[in-house]
Amino acid sequence: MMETARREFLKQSAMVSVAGAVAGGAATKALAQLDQQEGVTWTKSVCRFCGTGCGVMLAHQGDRLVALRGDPEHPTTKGLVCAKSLFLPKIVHSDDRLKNPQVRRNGELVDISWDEALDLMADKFADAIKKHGSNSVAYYGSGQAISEESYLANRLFKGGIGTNNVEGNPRLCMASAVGGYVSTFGKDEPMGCYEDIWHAKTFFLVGSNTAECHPVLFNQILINKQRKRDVNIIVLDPRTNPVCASANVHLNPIPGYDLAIMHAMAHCIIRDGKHDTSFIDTNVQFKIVEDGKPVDVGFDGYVKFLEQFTPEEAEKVSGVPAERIEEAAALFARGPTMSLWTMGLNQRVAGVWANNLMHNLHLITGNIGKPGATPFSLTGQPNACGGVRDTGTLCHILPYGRVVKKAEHREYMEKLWGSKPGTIQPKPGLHSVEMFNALGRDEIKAMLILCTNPGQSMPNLHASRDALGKDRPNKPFIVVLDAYPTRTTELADLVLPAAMWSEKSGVFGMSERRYQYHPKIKSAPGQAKPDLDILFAFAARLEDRGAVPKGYITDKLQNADDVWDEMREASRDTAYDFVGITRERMKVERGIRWPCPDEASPGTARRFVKGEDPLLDAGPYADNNILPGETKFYAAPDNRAIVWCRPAKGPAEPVDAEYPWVLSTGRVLEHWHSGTMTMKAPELKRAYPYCFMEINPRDAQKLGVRSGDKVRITSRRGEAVIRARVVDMPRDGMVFVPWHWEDEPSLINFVTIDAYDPGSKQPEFKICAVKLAKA
Amino acid sequence: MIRNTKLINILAGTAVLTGSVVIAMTSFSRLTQPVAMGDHTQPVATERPTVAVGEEGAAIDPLTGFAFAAFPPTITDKEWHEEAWTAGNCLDCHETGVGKAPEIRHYGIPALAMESNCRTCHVIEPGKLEAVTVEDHGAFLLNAFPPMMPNNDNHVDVWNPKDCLMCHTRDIDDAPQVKHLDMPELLLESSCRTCHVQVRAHQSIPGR
Repeated sequence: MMETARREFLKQSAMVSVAGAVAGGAATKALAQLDQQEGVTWTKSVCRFCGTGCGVMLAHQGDRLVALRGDPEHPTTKGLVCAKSLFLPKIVHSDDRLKNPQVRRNGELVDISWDEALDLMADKFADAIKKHGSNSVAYYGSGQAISEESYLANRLFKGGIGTNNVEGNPRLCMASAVGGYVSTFGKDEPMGCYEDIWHAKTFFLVGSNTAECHPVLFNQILINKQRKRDVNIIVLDPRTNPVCASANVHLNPIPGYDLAIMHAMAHCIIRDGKHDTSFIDTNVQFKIVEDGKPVDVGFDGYVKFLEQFTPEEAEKVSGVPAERIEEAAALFARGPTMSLWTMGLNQRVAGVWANNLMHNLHLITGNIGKPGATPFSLTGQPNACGGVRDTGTLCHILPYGRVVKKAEHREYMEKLWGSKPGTIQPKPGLHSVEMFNALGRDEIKAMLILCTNPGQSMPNLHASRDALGKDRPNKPFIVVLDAYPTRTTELADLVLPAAMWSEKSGVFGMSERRYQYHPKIKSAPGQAKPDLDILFAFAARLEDRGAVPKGYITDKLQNADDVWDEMREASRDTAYDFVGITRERMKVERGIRWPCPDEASPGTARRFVKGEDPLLDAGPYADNNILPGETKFYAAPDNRAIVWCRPAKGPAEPVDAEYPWVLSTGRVLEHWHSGTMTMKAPELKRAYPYCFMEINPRDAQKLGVRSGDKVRITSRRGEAVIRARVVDMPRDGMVFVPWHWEDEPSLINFVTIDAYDPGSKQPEFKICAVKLAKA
Repeated sequence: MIRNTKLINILAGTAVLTGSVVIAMTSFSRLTQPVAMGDHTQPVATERPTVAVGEEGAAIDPLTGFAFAAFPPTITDKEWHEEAWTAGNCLDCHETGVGKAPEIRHYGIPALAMESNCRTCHVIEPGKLEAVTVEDHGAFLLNAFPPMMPNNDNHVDVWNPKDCLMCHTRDIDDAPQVKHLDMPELLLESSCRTCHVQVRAHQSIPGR
């Protein structure tokens, strides 16, 4: 009787589930029909979370977002979105938004007018520049800012104020990938595309919990694997993350000791004659660094270098059985192979080298430039690629592949921007970790932080938080633009309320070089304004105060359209050429992939491939002596990509007797970065209301820890207290903590290390030594 | 240092909080010491005394003289509630909102209690037939958000859609039967957890 009643109830309940399900994806049509009576309109846009760049359809009614669905017409995401995106309407309409400019007075943030706020900001920056020089100010931006915002900030600081202290949070997540692409291929950004997922027969997922961090792409990988019988997945990750359930081979090294594995795979491939001699002869060169300089070693030198990296030797270093390395090498060589990686490879002191070794495998097997064959770095933010990497909004680079060190690059940008000659400094500015160190030493007097939360996201967080907020004489003036209160706004001297995604229009550039436009749909709450408007107003005031030449910004640029047009011009005849990607095109099309040198071009699926890349047909990189389908790495020295012989360097802080455990940090599907946004959706918060520390049952038994017990995690830098989750996922000797929670007992970045890769300057969030104790 | 004051209802270890709607029999009280978002590591002993008379959102019901949340809410006299002997059965609905069930969260009670029978604390009230239901789509479209998944032994592996659809399309084990109509093909082959959030709030997530 009871059973029947419950079944009946659940079946009735199922009606709700069915209705909810009907509302998805292509059913936007049905929903639109359903809600036409209520004045609901559907508009295409782009998700603002990770770098997948999912196309979305936004339902809005009056000045309100009322639903979101995947855009079934989007060419790569095809209607797929994840839960984070689906809950964006709730996140945008959260009551916990910043609505008024606020200044800190007597320790408290109090409301002020926009004019007061902007005047104060300009006074502080102009005063610092006048008294201490242009390098006494800094900008710290974001891979979530729209491209026009990052470009304008970069232009203002480097070409107007004259400082290269221009950084952003992509330094914390993607810098090693940039370093890998640039040192191997000559220019940044992947050459492949998401379509390659459907052609690949082998996937090599390295340091990437793709299932949770890029679920829409992982679904496509899985579907491809399920539809075909000959698709294999190799996972290289010390943690048995959800991807591993679908893996054919899981290589789980001791954290930080995976470079030997990739060398050993190359060793096996060449030993077994599975390398692509023809491709190597045409497209590849081999180098090693000796006495600080790159030296050619040729293929034979590379083979000799690899002799030390037998699978058996790699097993000794990494703890991964040699036979598994052999198996992985065989699958990789079989191809076509698509490699995907994220923070596990990038957030390392050997991040660039690890990226190089990934590219090595593709280059020696010719697994590149063909459908399904590509080394593809996934991005964690919606606009780290288009907004920061491409626009050159980091301390050492200039827009579209240019660098501050090269005089001709500086001169070109000064001319385009209308800067006084010599304004752009030839020396790179302070990179992120050193920028916050300099802030702590009061060498930076005023800092603008835009759309990011370093008060939670920096490693060795005590130092960064002290630098930002510790009360002291001559404390630097900190301005934070954000849409939400964060652990950074609580440290700011001036907080400016910013419009959120859907409250402003702009362009995101996601991982496959696709630039996509997202429109303004609703008004921002309170007095919040688009960041671009704030930057324009700030620039005008700096001009008024003589900190920037009069008319430097205001005479040339008035709005986002102007900025975008100048950006297109800056890309002309570079390897990034997107002159043909107009805002008008993007408003209609579902994004366009660069290179796209003219408006007739459909864009480029695969770079460096004749017949696909229009830059090989006309312009400075054109070559009509190669055949369609052939590859030419036109941005690399001598048009040949470089296979690097890199040492198998380990982590900065190996475990020892005092700190015997490895801590690695990461993410869960339902939350994103510092949780500022996703914690605003009650459903997402309920998915993971508080932080946890994964530890495997064997290690938990050693510590006497059960699920739910609080554990104190202590490093040389700080500590956190987090509940244990006993689950057989981390490798022996390792614990894993996602970093989305802002509350102090579990704020894990107090524990992480700020050691960084000497090439990319990216910190090693993924590995530090800790000790554990039941709290 | 900690920014947000959170509305948390704690008394005698039986406080109840809904996602967006307060159940009629419960109330919220404001802590004297604000608790940060997601902070569940605060010891219970420090939280309890903060429920005090006279605070904003007073904890004491002036009509009864007791705290609003002094007593665990009673259960409606519906047939399916007879099965409230296992937490999983109740929380399948009361954490996910299935059937418009009020979404319940318990703060400050021992983890073991969360695994206990609900009727240990919650009494079925004979004749109480008027269910408290929640229309929580608020100003958003009805069905704007995908239904949530419960966190029970049937939902351990929620990555493979075939595992989910095994029950949810074949009428197995009481699973609500779903039909994803007019949806993109790829979406139907995707992991269910891509869109459907799984609740893990009802006990220490770590264990689940």
